[in-house]
Amino acid sequence: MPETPLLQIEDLVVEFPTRGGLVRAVDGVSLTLGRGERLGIVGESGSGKSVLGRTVMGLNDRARARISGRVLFEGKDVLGASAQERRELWGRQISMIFQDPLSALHPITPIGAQIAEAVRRLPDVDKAQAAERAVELLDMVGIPDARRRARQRAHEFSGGMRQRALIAMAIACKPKLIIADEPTTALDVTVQAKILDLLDELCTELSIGSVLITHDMGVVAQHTDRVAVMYGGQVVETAPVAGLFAAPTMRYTRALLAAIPQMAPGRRSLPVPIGGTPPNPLERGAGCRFAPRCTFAEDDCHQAIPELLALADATDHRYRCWHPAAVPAETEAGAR
Amino acid sequence: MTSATSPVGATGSAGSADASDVPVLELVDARVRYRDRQEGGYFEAVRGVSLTVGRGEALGLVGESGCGKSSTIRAILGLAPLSEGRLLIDGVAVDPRDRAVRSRIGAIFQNPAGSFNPRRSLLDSVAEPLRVWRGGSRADRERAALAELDRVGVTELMARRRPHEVSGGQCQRAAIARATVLGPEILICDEPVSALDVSIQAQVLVLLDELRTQAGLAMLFISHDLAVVATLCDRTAVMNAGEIVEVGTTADIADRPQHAYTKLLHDSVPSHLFLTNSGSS
Amino acid sequence: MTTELTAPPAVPSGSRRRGRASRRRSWTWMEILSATWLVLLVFGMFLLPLILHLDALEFDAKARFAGPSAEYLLGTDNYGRDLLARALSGAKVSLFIGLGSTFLALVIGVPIGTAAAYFGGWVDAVISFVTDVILGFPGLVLALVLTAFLGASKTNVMIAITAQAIPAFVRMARSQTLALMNRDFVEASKVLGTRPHSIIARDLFPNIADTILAFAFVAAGRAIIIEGGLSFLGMGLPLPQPTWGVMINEGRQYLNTDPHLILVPSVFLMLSILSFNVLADRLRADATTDGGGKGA
Ligand SMILES: Nc1ncnc2c1ncn2[C@@H]1O[C@H](COP(=O)(O)OP(=O)(O)OP(=O)(O)O)[C@@H](O)[C@H]1O
Ligand SMILES: Nc1ncnc2c1ncn2[C@@H]1O[C@H](COP(=O)(O)OP(=O)(O)OP(=O)(O)O)[C@@H](O)[C@H]1O
Ligand SMILES: [Mg+2]
Ligand SMILES: [Mg+2]
Repeated sequence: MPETPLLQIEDLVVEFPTRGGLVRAVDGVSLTLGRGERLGIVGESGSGKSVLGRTVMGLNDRARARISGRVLFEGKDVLGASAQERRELWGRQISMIFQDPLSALHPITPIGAQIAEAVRRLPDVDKAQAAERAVELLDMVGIPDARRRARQRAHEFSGGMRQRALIAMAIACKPKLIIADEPTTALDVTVQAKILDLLDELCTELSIGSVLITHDMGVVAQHTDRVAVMYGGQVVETAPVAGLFAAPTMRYTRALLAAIPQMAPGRRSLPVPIGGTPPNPLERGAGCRFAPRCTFAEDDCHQAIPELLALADATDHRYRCWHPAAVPAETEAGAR
Repeated sequence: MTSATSPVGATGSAGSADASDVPVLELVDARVRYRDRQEGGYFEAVRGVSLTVGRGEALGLVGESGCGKSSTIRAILGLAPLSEGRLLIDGVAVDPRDRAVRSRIGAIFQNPAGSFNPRRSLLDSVAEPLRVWRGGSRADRERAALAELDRVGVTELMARRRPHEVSGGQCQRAAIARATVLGPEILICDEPVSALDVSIQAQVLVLLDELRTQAGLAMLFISHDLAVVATLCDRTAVMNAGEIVEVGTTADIADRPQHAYTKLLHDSVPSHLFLTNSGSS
Repeated sequence: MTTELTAPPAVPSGSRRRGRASRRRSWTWMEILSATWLVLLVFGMFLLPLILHLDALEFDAKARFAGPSAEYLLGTDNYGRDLLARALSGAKVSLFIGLGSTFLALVIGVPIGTAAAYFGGWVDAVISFVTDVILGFPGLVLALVLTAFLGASKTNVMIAITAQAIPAFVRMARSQTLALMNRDFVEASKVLGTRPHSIIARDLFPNIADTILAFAFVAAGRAIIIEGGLSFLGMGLPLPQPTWGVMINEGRQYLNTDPHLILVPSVFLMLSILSFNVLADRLRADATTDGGGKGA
């Protein structure tokens, strides 16, 4: 047996009791992440990406949600951890970059002090060193005039700067795993590229594992090793990044790719939205989750949920689809 | 000082002719200064920006993070101090802090859930501008709000939920409904689709495009994504360090960028070429 | 690592709210115990003295500092007065003064603090300055000066205790509101032309209520103790009337030799405040579950 993977998610189900009934936000997700590996999670809004991230982080506990399945961090159970163990995890091992930077930053504490606080979780760092390090980190994420900026408060930062401050905070304590929930949505491509390169560098250098939650296929293509596409709480396709773009198999993945705004030279063209409405988690049919919106759906698609099947020529490329796009005939045999 | 000599300004419709003679929205030589708490002086985030938006026109505003895009529109919305410069609506100078101006300009912010009061249903929030401006019975207001929500594709079931109980896309649609429920002439959008995933981003862009063409809204559209701007806007202005450094038709900006930053932006748009091959089957 | 920063003071983060706002919960043990305690206390306040023929003022020279016994269920104090009788008799006054003055302080202080944060500028500067100055004095001293000035009566004690509690609410409301001022939904309301009083009532108050309410129960406990301090110094209610505060202050002298003198009223005070807190939490959770906005 090789060493235990950094993160193992096994058949995770997260349900929220609501007025309308039980909402199954994450539905049987299994994923594995090795040390220094970068996993991308893409999918449309409401597909359960953030809930998955928060659960892995141990932020959705059993009092708030019904959780079954297992999440193992370095072989240790995260979901069953005590409050004390969890704080230990958050402080030193796993850090998360939240989706909404303004509400994730403290409104009145200066940004530098907030980062310094994270730095001080490292052993043997005194106050002055931490403050110095905070400035360095701000500089690293590309905030000009970092020393002055460190003393400013969240509302004095522009949207993109806040997001970068959060990233600085997340890498401050040198965690083993970073969960980044749409970390660069407020950044233009030039800064985004810089930040993601920085994250990549850190990940390889310190062999930090990262889970990158995003809706940007371009980002996924360039900054992850593996991709999991989520739809309606399930992983509907997962593959090494090259494989996914070379042969997007599940119909939803294809539709997702077509919805990207393109810079067509010389004319304006609106992207192709995916028709229909996202699935209502309270009214799920028996069939494939995407079937009601899928232009290729046939009768059998509405009957049963397809299994996660593997492509024959690439066993780590799996998809859930009854009528996959362009699958060579023989692959159907390569089920798990 | 800079803008007087500056070779470019977003004023004057460079190319697009459908703007009628008097622009709906005109910003002249706007400056925004923030007090610097530490050194006592001022930090000038916007340095003499001029721009015009005509009826049914969408002007894109792109630029590096921190260059002053949000500050510019916050000044138009009366949220940031317009320390110098003028704002004209339909050719008439107005004070952005004047309450009467508020019903004529709708605004959409980046963070969908964050721009709604977490304690109130979306419906309540969308009906709020009607309460403020129109009065009428609660039932009437709700009916009008529901009609507007329906137009942008939010069902009543969704509208009765609170912001955190619906998806980002639903929330952003509701935000658009709130911004348009009073029938404003101008719609100002600060990165309205940045937090949305591509499929919903596309839906919202299509919706905004409809509003622009059908309701003839003048739209000022901020984004850091040139591709997004290219899908929606006729003209685009590029900002850098508080100034507008390049302005022209979106096609020109996208295909023949002049300013160094625009070039950089253009070059670093992730190439989706390999996606186009396989993506559209 | 960023965990304690995820929820800024006032607005609960999305998931916490979503978590709370789930289906009507069954009662937890804490809630059942809290409700039971309050029911017993009210029952005890009004009926127990009649049933057990308790007298809070009767001296028993033979049973000074007595421990619990069949005759004196919770023992007696330095004059041989029944502690249970005194605690129950004191409950009425203490709860009335504690909750009443806190309520008044909240109603006066929170709008002032919120307005200070909302309008900023010189309004804020003046309010903050006054608050800081007043907060520089211990609450007891302030209340003392006021009662000395106004004269000791139930109303004046109430006024004095209310007055000393106001600045804390002002400061609390101010800092909580400041944290909200730059949030998008407040700005969205401004941009719609909503008038300040509307924004304060609809956007700000509901979102700082949780924190303020939690603080209010702590303040109520403090008010009860300050009332005791006043009585102890002869500036409170007319003396023979026992209150929890009086009992705690008297009991303090015998802390080392006969701790039950201070223990009895303290436990009454603590349990009551705690119960209020737990039940208020519950009510709030239910309110957020049921009303999807006011009209839904
Ligand atoms: N506490 C909760 N109570 C009820 N439903 C919830 C709760 N948290 C999440 N959900 C629901 O779970 C589903 C998944 O939500 P999640 O936030 O994970 O989506 P997402 O993929 O991150 O979307 P986005 O791209 O908009 O951030 C949604 O339908 C959401 O409404
Ligand atoms: N309230 C404020 N006080 C002081 N400085 C501010 C304030 N708001 C913004 N700034 C500064 O003004 C500059 C411009 O900020 P602005 O928010 O307009 O940028 P932006 O172009 O919208 O950037 P982004 O794309 O990152 O949102 C930044 O340097 C920012 O730090
Ligand atoms: Mg999310
Ligand atoms: Mg901005």
